[in-house]
Amino acid sequence: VIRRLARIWDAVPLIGRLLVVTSTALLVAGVAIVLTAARQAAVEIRTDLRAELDANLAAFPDALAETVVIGDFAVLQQLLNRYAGYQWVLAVSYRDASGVVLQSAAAPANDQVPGWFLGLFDFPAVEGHAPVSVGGRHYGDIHLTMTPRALALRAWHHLRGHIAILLLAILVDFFGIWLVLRNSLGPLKQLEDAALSMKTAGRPDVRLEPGGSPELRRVIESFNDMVHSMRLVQTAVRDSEERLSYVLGAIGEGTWDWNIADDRVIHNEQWARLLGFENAPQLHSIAFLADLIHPDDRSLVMARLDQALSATSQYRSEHRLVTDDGRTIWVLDRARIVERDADGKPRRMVGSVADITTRKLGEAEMADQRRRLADIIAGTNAGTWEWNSQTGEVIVNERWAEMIGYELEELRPVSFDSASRLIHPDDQKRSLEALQRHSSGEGPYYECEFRMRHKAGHWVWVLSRGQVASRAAGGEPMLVSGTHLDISDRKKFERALVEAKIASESANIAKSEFLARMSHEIRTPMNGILGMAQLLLAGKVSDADTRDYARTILNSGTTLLALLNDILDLSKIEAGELELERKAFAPAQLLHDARSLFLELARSKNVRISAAWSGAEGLRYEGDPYRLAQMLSNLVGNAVKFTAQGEVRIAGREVGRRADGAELEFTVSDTGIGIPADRLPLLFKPFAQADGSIAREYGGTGLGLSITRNLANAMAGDIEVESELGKGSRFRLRVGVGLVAAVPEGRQGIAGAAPGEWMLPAISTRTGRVLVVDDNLTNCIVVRAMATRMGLEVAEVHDGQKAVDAVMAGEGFDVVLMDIQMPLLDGYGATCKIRQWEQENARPRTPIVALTADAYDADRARAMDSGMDDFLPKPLKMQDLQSLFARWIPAGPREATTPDQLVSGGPDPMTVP
Amino acid sequence: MRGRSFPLWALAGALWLLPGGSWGETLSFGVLSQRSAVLTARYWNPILDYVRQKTGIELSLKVTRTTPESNHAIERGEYDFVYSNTIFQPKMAKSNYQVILRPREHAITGQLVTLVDSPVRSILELDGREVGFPSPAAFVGYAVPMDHLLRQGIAVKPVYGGNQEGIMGQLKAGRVVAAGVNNQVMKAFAAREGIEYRVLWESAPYENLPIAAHPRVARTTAAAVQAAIDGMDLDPAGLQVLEASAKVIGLKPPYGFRAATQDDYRNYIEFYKRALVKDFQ
Repeated sequence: VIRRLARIWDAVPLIGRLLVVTSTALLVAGVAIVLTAARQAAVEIRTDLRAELDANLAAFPDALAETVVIGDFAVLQQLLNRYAGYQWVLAVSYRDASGVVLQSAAAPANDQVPGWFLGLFDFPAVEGHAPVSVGGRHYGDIHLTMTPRALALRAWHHLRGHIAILLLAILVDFFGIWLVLRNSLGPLKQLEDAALSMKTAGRPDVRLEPGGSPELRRVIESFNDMVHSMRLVQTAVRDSEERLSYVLGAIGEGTWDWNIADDRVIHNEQWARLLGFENAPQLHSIAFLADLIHPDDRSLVMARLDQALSATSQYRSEHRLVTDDGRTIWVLDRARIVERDADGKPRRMVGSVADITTRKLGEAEMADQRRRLADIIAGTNAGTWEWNSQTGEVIVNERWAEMIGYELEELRPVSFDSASRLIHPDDQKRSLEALQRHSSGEGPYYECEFRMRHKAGHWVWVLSRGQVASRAAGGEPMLVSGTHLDISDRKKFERALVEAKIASESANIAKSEFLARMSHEIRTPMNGILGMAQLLLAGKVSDADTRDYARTILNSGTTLLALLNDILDLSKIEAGELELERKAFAPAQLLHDARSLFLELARSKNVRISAAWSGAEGLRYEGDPYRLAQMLSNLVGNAVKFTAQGEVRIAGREVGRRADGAELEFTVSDTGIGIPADRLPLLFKPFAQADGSIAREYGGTGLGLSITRNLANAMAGDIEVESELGKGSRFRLRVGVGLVAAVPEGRQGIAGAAPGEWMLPAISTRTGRVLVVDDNLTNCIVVRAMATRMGLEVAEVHDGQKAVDAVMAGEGFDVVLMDIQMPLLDGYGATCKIRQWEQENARPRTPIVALTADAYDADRARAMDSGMDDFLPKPLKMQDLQSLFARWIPAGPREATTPDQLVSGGPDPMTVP
Repeated sequence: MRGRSFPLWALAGALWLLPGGSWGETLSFGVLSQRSAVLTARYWNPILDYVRQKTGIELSLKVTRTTPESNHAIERGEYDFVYSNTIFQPKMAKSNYQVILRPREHAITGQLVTLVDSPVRSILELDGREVGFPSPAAFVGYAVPMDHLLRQGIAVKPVYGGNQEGIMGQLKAGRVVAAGVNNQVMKAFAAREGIEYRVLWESAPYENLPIAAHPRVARTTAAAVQAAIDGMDLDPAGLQVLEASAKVIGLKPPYGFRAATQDDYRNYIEFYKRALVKDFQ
């Protein structure tokens, strides 16, 4: 039944529903009100009736008292009759004390009150009685019966009236609703029709005339506004879609729309174009999309998609897709869930795909460049800086700070001012000016070298380079960026280089001059040697001339040798290899020897030469007499050389004594040309004669004084000079020497320093065989000549192997003179073989003497190590050769000549075969 | 009335035979209508009840609606006992009521009064004006003052209030400028109603209303009633009844009655002989 009623209700139009509902409501409310009112009235009536009865019983006796007292019963009856006519009174009676009864009853009621109404609301009659007494006398009793009929009638009339009003209200309600709705539904129908027509036409282009109630007019106006807004929105949407389509087309973004529940994906044309589809399916599943993802990215992308679906976050992914034609492209895929079901589960997702391949490649390249740049910067070990001139802020990297010993954090924040304060005060102005010059547009970049204070306190040289990176509209620099390079090492090197260059340049000049002088020094004696040799070879030379020529050759050779020795000494001194001997010597003897050495030369120039020792004649000290003699001979040689006339004085004395030694002073004074004052400081420097021209005039290597000073220094002494131009010079040499307790007799005389040394000794002749091994034929001739002169038989070979062969041939040489540097087998190798052969064949040991121009001690040691027995440096001195033979060959009959004979041109000249 | 309540009469007769119920007869006691019947009843019923208790004589109060009715009944001799001063009127002479008791209070006077704020200061000013009176039957309220006015030649238009209370009410309400009144009734009224009044004229004193007995009442009965009422104020119970009744109508002491004779009311008789007022009822 209920369902049926519901069906009927569903079919009832709005107006009907309203009528039914309101009428029912009114009826129910009305009936309830009426019944409640009637019931309440009944209650009130009963109460009122009782009160009325009580009131009447209280008042009625008094009202009757007068009549009762008078005893006028006729009047009393009239009163009762009149009282019985009162609407509520049903009956009234008076019973006299004497038994007289008077009564009266109401007329029968002619009312229309239905019995059910009385029954329903219960209206009973009430009765009561009251005595009539006056002045203590009881006259009689009043009986009163009252009925509510009149009240009930009134209540009934009220009820009927109320029901009538209720029915009228329902009727009015009926008509009112019907009228209102009929008025209102018309416009609503219009709205419905309009909406339907809009739906059919698909265009919001309807406009309705407002009518009906104010609310409806507002609804219609709102509808019109809504239609207008929809039209605007539709236009905007169309424009927007058009624009979006253009934009998507222009930026090449594809779109996709995924119905998740059905797993259907729709995409636009651009999407298909992006993925290179000629004929892509318009509709496909998400799996189709997944297949397009590059296999390496697929799981990541699907994970991102799952996350977006499960969370509320948006989906955004950059990944690779493989297009239909096999290309790999980078895309930016963005999507959003646009619909969810009631449970919040995603139902629809819309996304866009943009081709970002170019950007990705660019990014990769950019990253590569950035990394490269970072590597390069790291590789250059440069600090970087960027100065914002607007804020004064300076951004620097760690290397910048590290360069001056700081952690970056210690310096932060770095400002232009704080950075400037780190710059050396002397460099600040310069660096600022350089920066300002560049800022004002001068030069393509800013560059400045300045010092910055290191945290440790020292200064660090920095090369700062930079460039204005951006300028304001007015041209003022906004950003300046650049680098710092630590150039402290470079600066140090530069300084060293400059110093070295200066040193090298001066050394070069000196050496050039030296070489020029050497050339001159060598050429001069060579000229003598070669010239004389040519004259001798030309033949027809008298013996006297022959001796002159030979002496000239000897002197020239001696000069060359002295030159070589000086150079050797200097090189030793400079190499710190100078070694001094300690032997006992007599200074008087040294002075005498020095004078003797130059006596002949001085005499030839008519220069007097004297030597004087201020002390005991035989007084001896300990020192290196050879080097002292060399020093003196240098000084005396110079004095004689630069003195044209007058004298040369040599003097010596002890000027001081200590516990362990004494200081000796030697002075060499001359009356020569003197030395200009400005040249004096250069006098003792190597390769620096007081005047280059002097060498040309006077010869000399210019090394002598330098060697002399070095030797004096080595002997804890020094040398100084006083000179007056044109009047002469005075050299004063001081050296420290030891005191002699008892030392063996030192070698007397000066080896190789004076021409006298080369005088031929008294030659003692021997018998024996000598093997000369030398690849230089000249040397072979010299040795053969000298040995033959000493009575020895000479054989010669020209390389080591031949020497070995000769010895192993068993020719029985008494001594082998072995050159060192030879082709095929050198002297050391040959000696080794010979010694090996001797040892293997149990032969007696043949003395082998090294004969070499390698005159250093190291060469001597090596010769000994290779098995040689003695060592003789070239050029050979005849006397030395004779001593050597004396050591290794048993002596024969003596046939001696004196050195004087040789020097003074004796009849037994040294011959060179 | 008697016929209709026959069974009660039979009962009354039986009661009369009983010891203590002396005479067993109900005698009527008429009261001149001066006040409302109810007030009259409230005053007299307790006194009559006292008399019954003292004497066994049953007195039934009889009240008429108006004074003329009372006078009419007195004229016909309907009441066994009567409380009225109209018995001295010439026309009442044949009923021959005889005074047995007079009130203990002072003799009453007739007065012409106005309210104290009335402009009227003299009876002369009443000439030609309406003056209130209780009724043409009122002796000191009408006959005496009217007789005086007539003798003074002052013509007033009499307005009747029905009884003393009525005309005093009209005076109080200002319906009449002056009224003829019994001085005691007026005094009691003024005290009760709280009004002040001015006495324009006052008559010589007359004893107030007497209680008289009809000649048919047995002499012993009349004497018993006379004795019961005469000693009532001396009996505490009687005094209590008198005081309660006096309070009902506002009477001041002395309460009660004293035995009296016809001679105590001679001046009434004299007045009626020479009275100028003719309409006096």
